[in-house]
Amino acid sequence: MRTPVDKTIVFTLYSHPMKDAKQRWKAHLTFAPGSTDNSEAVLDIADGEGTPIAAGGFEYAGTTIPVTAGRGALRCGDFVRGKHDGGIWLHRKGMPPVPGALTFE
Amino acid sequence: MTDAEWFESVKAGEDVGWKLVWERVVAPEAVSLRSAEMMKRYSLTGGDLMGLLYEEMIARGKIDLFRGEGSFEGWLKRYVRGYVLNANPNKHGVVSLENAHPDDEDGATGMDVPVQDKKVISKDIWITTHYCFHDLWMDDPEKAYVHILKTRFHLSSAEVKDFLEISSAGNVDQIFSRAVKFMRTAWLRHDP
Repeated sequence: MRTPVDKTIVFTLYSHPMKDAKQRWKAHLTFAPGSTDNSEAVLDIADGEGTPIAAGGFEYAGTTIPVTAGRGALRCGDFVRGKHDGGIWLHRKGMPPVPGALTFE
Repeated sequence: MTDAEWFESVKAGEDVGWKLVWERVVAPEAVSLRSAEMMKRYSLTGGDLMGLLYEEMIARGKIDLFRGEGSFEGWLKRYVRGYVLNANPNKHGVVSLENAHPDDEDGATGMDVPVQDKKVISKDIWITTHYCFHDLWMDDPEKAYVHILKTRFHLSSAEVKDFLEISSAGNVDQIFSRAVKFMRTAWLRHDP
């Protein structure tokens, strides 16, 4: 895969509606210009109150990446391999996993 | 003109007040996503709505039911939307003015129509687009990615092909075309 050399692509992912704002989450997955298979897309993720997720696991199409202080990294190659898979989850200790989906702002 | 002045002008049947009713209430509602299609289906025109509203407010004296809670514009819109919804011949047989508003005097249950004075159309479009886009994602995430890359980031088909490792730019065009068609169909489902 190869992203355009002159554009930064940012996907917005949002959790399914949950009653508790703490359980909701919103993430931005940023692809730097000219990213390739082995580059890393940066994941910024916060809960429904805007607080960065302190620690957890972000599952994308079967691959779980660690999240620390609201940030994680996904290999671009893994992103493309999961392009048909809608399985996106945020796992946190002491909370049920919360699914999400791609959206726009 | 303040709400209070507008109210007095409408109550007095003055042209200036009723002209504003047309401009702020009836005309926007007649072209809104919420009502335009139903009005066409039930052969209802903006003029009909204006006539119904005038008859109800002035001839029946319903104008006196306005208590000054919320905007006058929003209050009138609830009546107008009620007329459109109640114009369904399968529901009543005739255009019905009854049950159009919680202020009905006969104790009948009023309709609960949301009051949104401004930007209601753009908000409706925004929410419905989100619903449709979620449906697209559930159908195939790749279609959603292609749709967003083409429409939000203005990537060419060749760029999308390289990004998502799709076999050819032509294939990207096909996926995009299917995504757009899917969104159109979903729109009808969410906003009949």
